[in-house]
Amino acid sequence: MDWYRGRPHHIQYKWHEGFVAWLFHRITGLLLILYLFLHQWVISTLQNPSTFDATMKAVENPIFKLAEIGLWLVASYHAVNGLRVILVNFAGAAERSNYKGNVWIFWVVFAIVFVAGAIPMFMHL
Amino acid sequence: MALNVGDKVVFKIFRYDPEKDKAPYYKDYEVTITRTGMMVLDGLNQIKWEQDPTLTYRRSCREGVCGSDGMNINGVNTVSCMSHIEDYNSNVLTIKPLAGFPIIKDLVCDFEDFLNKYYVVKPYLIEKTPPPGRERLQSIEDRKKLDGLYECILCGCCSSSCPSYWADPDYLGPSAMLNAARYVFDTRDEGSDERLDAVNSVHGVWRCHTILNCISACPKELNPTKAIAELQKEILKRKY
Ligand code: SF4
Ligand code: SF4
Ligand code: FES
Repeated sequence: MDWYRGRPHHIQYKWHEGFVAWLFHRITGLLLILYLFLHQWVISTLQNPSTFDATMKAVENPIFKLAEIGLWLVASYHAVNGLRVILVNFAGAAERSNYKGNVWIFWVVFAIVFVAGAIPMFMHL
Repeated sequence: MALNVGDKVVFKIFRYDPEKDKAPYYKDYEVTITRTGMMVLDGLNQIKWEQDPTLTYRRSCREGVCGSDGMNINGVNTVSCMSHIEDYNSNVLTIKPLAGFPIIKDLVCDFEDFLNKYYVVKPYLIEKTPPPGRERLQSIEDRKKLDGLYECILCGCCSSSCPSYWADPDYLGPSAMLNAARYVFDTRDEGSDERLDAVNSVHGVWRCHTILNCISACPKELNPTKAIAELQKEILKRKY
C-alpha cells in the first residue's frame, strides 16, 4: 500500500494528439509568462534618452528579430490552441468521432497563422 | 496482425507485493493462443490458472459490466475483458496497474479515494417534491439525454489516464464528474444545485485541461470531457 500515486514508473501513458496539444499549450504558456517579465524589464530600462537609444539599438539586432519570430511562434500556438479549447468547452469540438481529427485541424490552422505572420517578419530581418 | 491458434504472445506484467518486494518489477509470461478472439483477460486467466497462481488481478463479470479489471495495456487504460489480444498488433503486451491509484498488489489498485470522489457528487436521485402518483415518469426524449452518461461502470480507466488527476490529489476526476452529469441532466432529479456546488471548484470542473486522455481511455466509449464541458456550461448558466 505504499506505492502511491505520482510515482514516475507508474505514470507512463501513450501519447496522443490531445495530450501533445495540451503539453505544448503548457510550455508556450510558461514561455509567455517568462517573456512578459523580460518585456517589463526591458521597458523599465527606458528611463532617459540615452538608455532609450541604447536599448532600442540592442533590440534592432537581427538576433532580437529572430527571437521575435520565436515569440510569434509561441504566442500564435497558445492563441490558436486556446481557441480550440474554447470550442471543446462550448461547441462540442471533442465528440468521440472527431476529438483527434480536430487537433490536427487546429495544428494546420496554427501553421497557416504562424507562417502568414512570420513571412513579413522575415522580410524585415 | 492476425493471431492463429498455437501462436505465443508475451505478457510483460507489473508485479509488486508490498509485503515481500522492495520495488516493483516486470515478469514475462508466455500466453498460448488457444482460440480466436481471445481477450487480454483470457490470457491473464491462463497465466494464473496454469503457470503462476500468485499473479493478482481483479475481475468478475468478464464482459465489461462490473468495472473490476481496469488496467494499463501497452500504454492505454482499458478493461482487460473488453480488449482483444489481437488488436494490439504486437507480440508483447506490457500490462500495468492503473496509474495514479495506490497499488495493493500486482494489478490490484485501491479504489477508496476514487469512490470517495464519486460519493462527493451525490450519485443518487435527490427528491425535493413528493412523486406525482406512484412513480416518476420520464419521457423517451428526456431519457435519451442520459445516453452516454448512465453506462459508466466505474472502472477508473478515465480518471487514471488523466494528467490533472495525477497532479492534483484532490481533483474529482473525469469519472466522478461524468456521474455528476448523469444526475444533473436527469429530469427526475432535483439535486442539481448541490451537485453543481460540489463540482464548481479548482478541484472540480475547472481543473480539466481538455487533455482528452479520458476519451481515448474509456472502454464503454463514453465522453467525460464533453460531460465536464456540459457541467461548466450549466454552472455558467446559474443565477446567484
Ligand atoms: S479531458 Fe479533462 S478530465 Fe479528461 S483527461 Fe483531460 S483533463 Fe482529465
Ligand atoms: S467514464 Fe468510462 S472510463 Fe470512466 S469510469 Fe466510467 S466507464 Fe470507466
Ligand atoms: S471483468 Fe467485469 S468489466 Fe472486466
